[in-house]
Amino acid sequence: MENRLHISDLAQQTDTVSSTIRYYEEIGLLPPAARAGNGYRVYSRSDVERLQFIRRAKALDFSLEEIKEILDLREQGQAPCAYVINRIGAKIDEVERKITELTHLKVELGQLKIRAARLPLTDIEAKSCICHLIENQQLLPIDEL
Amino acid sequence: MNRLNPANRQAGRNLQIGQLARAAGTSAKTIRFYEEAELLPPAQRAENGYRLYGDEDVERLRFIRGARHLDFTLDDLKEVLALRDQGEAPCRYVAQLLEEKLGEIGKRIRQMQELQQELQQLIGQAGSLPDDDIEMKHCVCHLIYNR
Repeated sequence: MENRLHISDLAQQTDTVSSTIRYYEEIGLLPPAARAGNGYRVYSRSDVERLQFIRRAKALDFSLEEIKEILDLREQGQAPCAYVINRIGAKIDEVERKITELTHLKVELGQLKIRAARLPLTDIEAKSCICHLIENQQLLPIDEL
Repeated sequence: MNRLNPANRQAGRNLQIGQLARAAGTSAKTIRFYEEAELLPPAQRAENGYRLYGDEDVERLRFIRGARHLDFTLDDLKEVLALRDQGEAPCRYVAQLLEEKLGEIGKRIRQMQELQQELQQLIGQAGSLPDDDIEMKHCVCHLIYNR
């Protein structure tokens, strides 16, 4: 029966796993599940839809906090659309920045590879090989661990 | 520097953590973190308990910083440094890591580009939809649901 889904059915229909469903319930992304007489969680069609929305929003790089905000707005009777559009705009900027960063890194690694190809590969002291190039890169003041 | 005992100075271990940090373009906090993560060997200590470092630590730390800047992970580095500590040339391994990293980054860039395209499409389509749909059936939320 479609309206009496077990957690494993819900997991299967939404391509997720039971532990994720319990976790989403714990953090309030899913409402507390109704329980059958034997204490098992039971779900309905609306849970499938809600979970599918969560999965798809996540695939679009929405964080769990953002998704919770969207679902909370709806529960409070407010349309979340403006918030969603705003977040998508911010995400486009973020992704753009990320692509620029990765492209720089790729160029840098590519240059390193070309320079390293002309150096020996057996330099234990690491004085005239690829390791040496890495060691003597321009060091940036950014202090990330 | 006067606080150091002569034995340490003779062994060339005459840098304190702040000096090492400056020489390698990083911070004392990062150095302590690397020691904890076993990328740096446990520092020798002065009589007053301060950590003491030598030139080889500067080199090692500069290598770590350079490799981190190039997106090598701590695990990658541990492997490279372990080879070096065992007296083996890590160069071939580093070259191989570099190759893998180039592949990974290319893949990540493509994924990001796909994501960006999808987000832009969503925003484009959302423009022609209502933005006050509580049921999320005819708006951008609906597009997310049906992607």
